Amino acid sequence: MGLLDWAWLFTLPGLILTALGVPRDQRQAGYASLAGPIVMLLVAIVAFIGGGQAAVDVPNWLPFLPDGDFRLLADPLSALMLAILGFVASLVYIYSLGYMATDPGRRRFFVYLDLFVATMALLVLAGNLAVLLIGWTGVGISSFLLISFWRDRPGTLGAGLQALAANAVGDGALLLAASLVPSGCGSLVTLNTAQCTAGVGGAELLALLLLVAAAAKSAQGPLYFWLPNAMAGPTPISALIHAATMVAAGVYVLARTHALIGEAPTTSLLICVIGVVTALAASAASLFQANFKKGIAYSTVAQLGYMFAGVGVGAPFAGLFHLFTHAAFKALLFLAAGVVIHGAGGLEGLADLRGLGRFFRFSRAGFLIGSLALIGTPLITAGSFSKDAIIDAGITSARPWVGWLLLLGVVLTGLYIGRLFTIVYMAPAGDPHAVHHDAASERLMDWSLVPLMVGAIAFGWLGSWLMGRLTGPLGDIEPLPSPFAITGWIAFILGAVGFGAAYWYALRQPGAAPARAGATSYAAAAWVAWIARGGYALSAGLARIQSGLLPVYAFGSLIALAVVLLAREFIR
Amino acid sequence: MDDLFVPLLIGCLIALGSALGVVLVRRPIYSAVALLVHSLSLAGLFAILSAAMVAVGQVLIYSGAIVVLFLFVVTLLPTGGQELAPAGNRVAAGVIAAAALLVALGATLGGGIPPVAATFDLSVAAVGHALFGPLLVAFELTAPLLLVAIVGGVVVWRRHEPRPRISPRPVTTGEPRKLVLHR
Amino acid sequence: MSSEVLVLGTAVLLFAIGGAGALVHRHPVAMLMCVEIMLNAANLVIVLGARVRGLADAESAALIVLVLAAAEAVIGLALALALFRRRTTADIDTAAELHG
Repeated sequence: MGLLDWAWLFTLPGLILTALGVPRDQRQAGYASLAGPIVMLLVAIVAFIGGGQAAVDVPNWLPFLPDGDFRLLADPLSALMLAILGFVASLVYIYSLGYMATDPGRRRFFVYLDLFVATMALLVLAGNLAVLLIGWTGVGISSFLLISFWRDRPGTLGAGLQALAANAVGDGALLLAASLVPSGCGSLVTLNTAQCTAGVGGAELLALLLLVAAAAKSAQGPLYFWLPNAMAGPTPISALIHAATMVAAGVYVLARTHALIGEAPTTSLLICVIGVVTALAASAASLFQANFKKGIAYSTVAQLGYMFAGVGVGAPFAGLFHLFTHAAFKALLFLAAGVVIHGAGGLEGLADLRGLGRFFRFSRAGFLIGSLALIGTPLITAGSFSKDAIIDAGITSARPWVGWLLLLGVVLTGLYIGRLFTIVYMAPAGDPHAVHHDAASERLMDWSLVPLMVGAIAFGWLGSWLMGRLTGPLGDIEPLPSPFAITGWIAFILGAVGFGAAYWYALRQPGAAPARAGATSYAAAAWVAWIARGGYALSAGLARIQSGLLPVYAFGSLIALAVVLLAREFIR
Repeated sequence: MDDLFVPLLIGCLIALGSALGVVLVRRPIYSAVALLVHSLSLAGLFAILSAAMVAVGQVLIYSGAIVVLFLFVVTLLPTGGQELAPAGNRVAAGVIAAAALLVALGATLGGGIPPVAATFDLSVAAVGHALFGPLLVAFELTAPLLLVAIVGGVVVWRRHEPRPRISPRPVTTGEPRKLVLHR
Repeated sequence: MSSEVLVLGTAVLLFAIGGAGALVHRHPVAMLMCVEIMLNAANLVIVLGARVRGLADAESAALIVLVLAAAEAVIGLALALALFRRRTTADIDTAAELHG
């Protein structure tokens, strides 16, 4: 477990080697980075099985913060998160070796990937808010760099900036929380103690700030807008960052500080509301997407809403369990989609991809398994175990409406994923010449799907084992519902009904993908652009202070000097 | 030090009066002369306060060099003669700034000042000891500071000379290319 | 009123007068002259401090401030000359090209 504390350094040798150009041939770039996430996965698994706890503490590392120690914490929860990160990252690296085979920016891509994995590991291992903030901003920057990776394409930079804007809101909230925590308030897990909540606003304010930060990172509530547009980045990135790991950081933080959330009833109610509303609204929004990846992205937003609701009703393990299984099947969905997109030459519109999935049989199998997991097919897929855990926790909690609404939401889940699957993979086959098959890349991509398929099927059975290991960090955990519980089967039936309805509808209607203009545009939503315009107007107004006249500036300086002197007097 | 009150009062009044002269007169040449009177009155104040070295330095450096420089520049600028009257809001701004500074400084310094020390050593020797002791670094840095100021002044003032131009000739085989410098 | 308070009050008044003058004058050199008044006021306080404490280190600091005033005057005047060299009037209100 002690070695796990330094897991965030595992990808740095790969980063340096790839940046220096170690595999000389551009087509081989990235092989030097492959070892990092694999090592991380192995170390995390061993640490998780071994159990225990290990911490690193460098006191007073950031003297200007009240609690500015450099504190790392490795326990079974962080081991689980790092195992998820290592698992998906390793597969994404292998997949990217095929997907980015002919891309000229390949070396830069792997450097950014290494940076992301390192900062995400630091985020997971953070022991107090200061280090969490470093990892938090680090993953935000890596996300921006990777979203706007193809800088020459129009719109990608704007999409990256949207992600950065939403992240800035979250970073600000987290920074405020780090400044408000009184000194001597050690680690994240003890944030609920009276010592830590003695600051301004108490437990509620602290929990609220953490909620804002988590919502920004996990695209919940009004801060959802960046995630669908983050699909402007390469598909492996959508799988790794915007499905499995980075967006899960919000859920992770809320689960880590679950004791604090328990002390803040208003905030936990807010978490439930935001989670449920986002889950239902995003599921509905996915039905109207004309872009394949955006449809899956809205699914991610909705499933994160499920996780948030799980944490909000006081079942952090249920939320984390769903995070675990979701990482597997959502990454599977994205990577399978990527195979088709890569074969079609980068096209992402549903109208363009209609029926082309038939030429990629491996991808079709993968997407089908992922879809079944998403709607929660009992016993044979993992998604049912975790989703039923959340629904069950919701129904049996003090807020049963959470559980019932999420149960009804499964219909929407079936509808949207059925629509996507049918249009791309089951519609009458399109023109075979519209796709090109690159055998070497496809072999790498297809084989990287296999572990995810296994995970999407089998991870659910690990539930009770995980539960046993995580009672330390997460406190008492309610037992998971049996796979034969009635609510689980109801959920599956609802999902299957949705899936079937979408299948029937999409096959009957030839143009069932509403081909809205700008199917692949990643421009900001209207209300986001409106806020941005307000910002521009404000800055233009402030710029009028710069009149260019020296006496005006002198006046300002003298008045400011007087104000500062007077303020000193009054503060003393 | 209260036996020196009257000389101090006279010095302060002259200083204040000449400062008002700098601010209120409309012709910059007259302002420069008022500045000269002001700096000399300050030299007198320094002398009354027994700071002989600074007093002499004020006369030599400030009155003798800086104010003279001001006089030169005033004559070199266009319309060094009459200055335009300020707009009304400018005067108001000046009054407001002055009032704000008075209030702020009064509040800051309102705590009073301790009486002068009975025994003091402000002689040239003592100044020398201080300059070559605790203030050595600052003292040594004034030399490069002045150098930078001189170089900066020259650079700011200098116009750029037009660069010599090289006109390209079409290259024909067998004929050496000639560089032509035009001015 | 004690002598110390007299001198201190004079310095404060001089600072305020200089500040007002810097805002009111339109001729660039006149502005600089008012800034010099403010500098002199600060120097007066330093010298008074030297006399109050009885030590010469503050007096030496006042000498260094004098050197600083010289350097600042050189640069300021060079800037004023360079800025207004080709204009018809030396008026600071006409030099407002650097605006936002």
